[in-house]
Amino acid sequence: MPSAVVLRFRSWLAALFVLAAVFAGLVVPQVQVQTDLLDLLPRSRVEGALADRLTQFATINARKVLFLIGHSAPEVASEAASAFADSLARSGAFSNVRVHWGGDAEAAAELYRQHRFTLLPESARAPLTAGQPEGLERGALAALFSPLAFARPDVSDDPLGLGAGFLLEQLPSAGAAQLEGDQLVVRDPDRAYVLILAETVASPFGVETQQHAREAIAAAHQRADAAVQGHVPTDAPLEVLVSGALPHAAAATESARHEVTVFSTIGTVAVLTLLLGLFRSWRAPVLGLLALGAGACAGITATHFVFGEVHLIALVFGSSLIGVAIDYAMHFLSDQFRRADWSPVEALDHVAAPILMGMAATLVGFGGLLLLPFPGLRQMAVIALAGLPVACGTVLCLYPVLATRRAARLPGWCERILARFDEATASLRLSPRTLLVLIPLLALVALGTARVVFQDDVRALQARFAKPVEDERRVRELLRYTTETAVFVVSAADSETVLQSEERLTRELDGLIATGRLGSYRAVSRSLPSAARQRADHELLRRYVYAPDGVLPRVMRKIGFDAAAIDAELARFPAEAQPLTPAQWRAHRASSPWRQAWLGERDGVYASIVSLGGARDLAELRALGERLPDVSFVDRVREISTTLEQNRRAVAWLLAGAYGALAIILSFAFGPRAAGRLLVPPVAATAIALSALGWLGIPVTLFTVLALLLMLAMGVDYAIFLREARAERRTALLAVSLSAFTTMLSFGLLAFSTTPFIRAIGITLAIGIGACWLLAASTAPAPERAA
Amino acid sequence: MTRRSIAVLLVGVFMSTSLPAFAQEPPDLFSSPTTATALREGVLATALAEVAGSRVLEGRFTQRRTMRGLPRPLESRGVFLLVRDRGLQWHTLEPVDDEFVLTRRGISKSPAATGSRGGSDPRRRGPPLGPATELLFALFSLDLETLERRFDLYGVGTAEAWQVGMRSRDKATARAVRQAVVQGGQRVDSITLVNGSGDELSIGFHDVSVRTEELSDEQRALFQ
Repeated sequence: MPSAVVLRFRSWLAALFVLAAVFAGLVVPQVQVQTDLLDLLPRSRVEGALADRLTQFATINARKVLFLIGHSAPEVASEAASAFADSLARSGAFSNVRVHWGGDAEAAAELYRQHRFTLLPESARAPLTAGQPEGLERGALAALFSPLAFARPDVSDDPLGLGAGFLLEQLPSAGAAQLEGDQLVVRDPDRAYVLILAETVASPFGVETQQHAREAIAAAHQRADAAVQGHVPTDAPLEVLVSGALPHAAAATESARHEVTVFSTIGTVAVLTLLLGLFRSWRAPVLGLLALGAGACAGITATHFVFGEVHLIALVFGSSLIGVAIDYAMHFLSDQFRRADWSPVEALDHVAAPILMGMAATLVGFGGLLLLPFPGLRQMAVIALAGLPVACGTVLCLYPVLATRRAARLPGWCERILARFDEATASLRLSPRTLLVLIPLLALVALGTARVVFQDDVRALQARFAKPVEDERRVRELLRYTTETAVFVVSAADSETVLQSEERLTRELDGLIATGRLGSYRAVSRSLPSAARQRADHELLRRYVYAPDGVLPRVMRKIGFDAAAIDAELARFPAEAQPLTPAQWRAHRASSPWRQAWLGERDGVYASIVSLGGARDLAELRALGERLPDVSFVDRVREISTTLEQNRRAVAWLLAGAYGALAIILSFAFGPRAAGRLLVPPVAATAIALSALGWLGIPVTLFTVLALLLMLAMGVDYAIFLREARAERRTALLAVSLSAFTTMLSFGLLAFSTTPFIRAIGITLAIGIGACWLLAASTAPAPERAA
Repeated sequence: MTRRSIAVLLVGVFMSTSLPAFAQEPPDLFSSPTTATALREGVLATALAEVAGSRVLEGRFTQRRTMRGLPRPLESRGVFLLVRDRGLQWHTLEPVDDEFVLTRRGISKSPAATGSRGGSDPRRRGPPLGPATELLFALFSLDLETLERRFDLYGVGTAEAWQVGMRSRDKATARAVRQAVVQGGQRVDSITLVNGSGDELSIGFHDVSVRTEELSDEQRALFQ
């Protein structure tokens, strides 16, 4: 055995041991498996200091989980919800578990009492600003004498109900849910549902967080069931609805994990069985497994060190590389059928160059993914760029020593299939009869291609799972409320300007709410009005409410207070406004529900976020963001969808460019006529894949176009190989067919993924590679019998 | 009686012209626990039977709110219209003109009376009083089933002069209505509620008459 071969063998083996040690010692214990689909997508294009604050806001938002605990008896639902929330809070998997809102109301009431001379509820500001204090007076008296306001406390402290009004405007917007006692309750004809809000302690896309959350929710459900045992009536079971990113993420993780396991198992077993069947030796599948294992370790290790995490979806995609990597092993081992006195060392001379060239073409294809601004695609590229060369190196360095010659010739079944296939494809030549078949086929493809629709909406990329989607729908239906992913960001050089700009914005939003075009919004200035507004409110109170003949003394007189009590109350009103300052507000516990929306200062920029619920028309809101100073409308979904569309177009051009470049290269190498012939399979396969998608009604996305690029990278060499090896057409046909078969198999498995874009890649590649293979076999020049 | 129907508006139960309003409950009321079924078949049987044919009733009310921190109770009077299967119109005339309509779907206020915008939008349906409103509705309509879910029931007296007492079972209800006493004979004469802070609301019914003719279009529109 040549010393170079032995040297390569030893060094590669040593390298693989190092890789295995790193993988087992550093990667496996530390690897962070990510499941957030947004992680796969480009970062927001919002620039500068705001970007990470927005991310922070989005991160906290993603942690929020909303539960509705329902039962036909409201008091049972109430008690169950308290037990459920208590159990969640104790579990350690959730923080900020809220089922009682009394604390918030108390804090807001306290803040109001301390600053009541500069704060006004919107409901009172409107009539006073319009110069109609009678409206306020009438409303206050009506409330005092109405049996409906019976439950309202503190009437003597707040005869005008201003504090109660201010409080009401502080409540979390929860759509149709209403405060009952200190719980938020929503009802349908059969049940009452008590609302619980909680946050997962870490990102809901972490696999561990999901696990802990799942256990905590199950335990809480049990606790709630136990708490209401023995209650009348207990005939109906509790209903627990969960909404938020968590249930979707957990379902996605579960299914992606399942897919990684199933796809890689089926893929591995299938290719290993094929190896065993072809080479009739246990050594062949073991060698195959060695190459696959080395490639997988390398791919995951590289991804871990480059990105600091491994995305589950990238792993699902990576499982399809089995079909590509096994090619190298097949190619090498198939060489033994060439000659009776074959030795693995000499095989190297024969197969090393085609294997390396094939790999290079594939790597160029995957490398192209690095050019796009999609972290997810880059992870897939890194898995391929690290995994495939290592698998390839294992074949080229280890096989010459480890492989043995077993089978002198192909197994009988394989011979027979190959012969059939050879005859079938070789006889396909352009003739009037084939034209008769070809023309309708072409028409079918053309029609299908015409039916192709494009889609760039990022929401369509997400997998939808029945249970979370159904829960989400029920919650939306009950609360009559949807949280928008789009928000307004208000930013300026100082906090007062931020608050004033926010108030200009909320005035517009109030208008939209009044006309039913917006459900609700949540803005810091509701709790902390700008100093300017507070001064204006102080002036309104001075002029209309605390004046000697103002609304307050008039109402107090009507309900029986004497002059002394009235004078004492009027005397408390300060002549000068002392507005609540941002610093005082932040120090007060009433600000805690708002802290997430108040971004505060960074790099000299103050900012706040106004979140929205139940918007009818986002374009209207976007226009508002463009019109108002200091206000910008941030719509991540649209932003990402736009990026997807731009990239889809860019990759389509890249694909066209790749074909152009290939045409030129092939023309130089083989002459224009042969080049045209060589390009027929991939070009036609592209059309066939597209038309199949058209007929199946699967929209074409960026990922479909990428799959077509990968198809070109993997499929172009079928035709080249068949042309170059036309002297030994059977052997060449075998190599190409095995390669196509394993590739189709592993990508075909992706077609069963629950993640739509993975599915699109799978379907496109399986159809494309299949077509490419059949076309290459049928258009290859006939063996030169004369020679 | 099902919880869903407003058939439970026990029309006749409200009719009374004689008994004094705001009578104190006898000391032994809350030591006489009972059930909705016992009440239906016992002291309330006559009152409930009277209801069966009546559809609409209207009359006057006097209301008295006693609250901590206020120098004197707030007294008001007005008229009401109770329509079986539809709802309740409550029109305070003195000392302030205010009106609301209570149906199963919620409360709406007449815009003229309060200056607030009415409508079916939950945000504008007035303060979310939750259980208080629901209980008020159940009390006005003597929906014993709903009441029994949230309250322990007590009852004393005869078919001519009875009292039904209620004490809340859970904390959330107690904050809104800790205790209630309904008093009547052939009809309901008065309702007295005590909330979590000890404030009291008493309503007496007077000059109540049964109407058998259909509602006017205007009245029907109230309950849409």
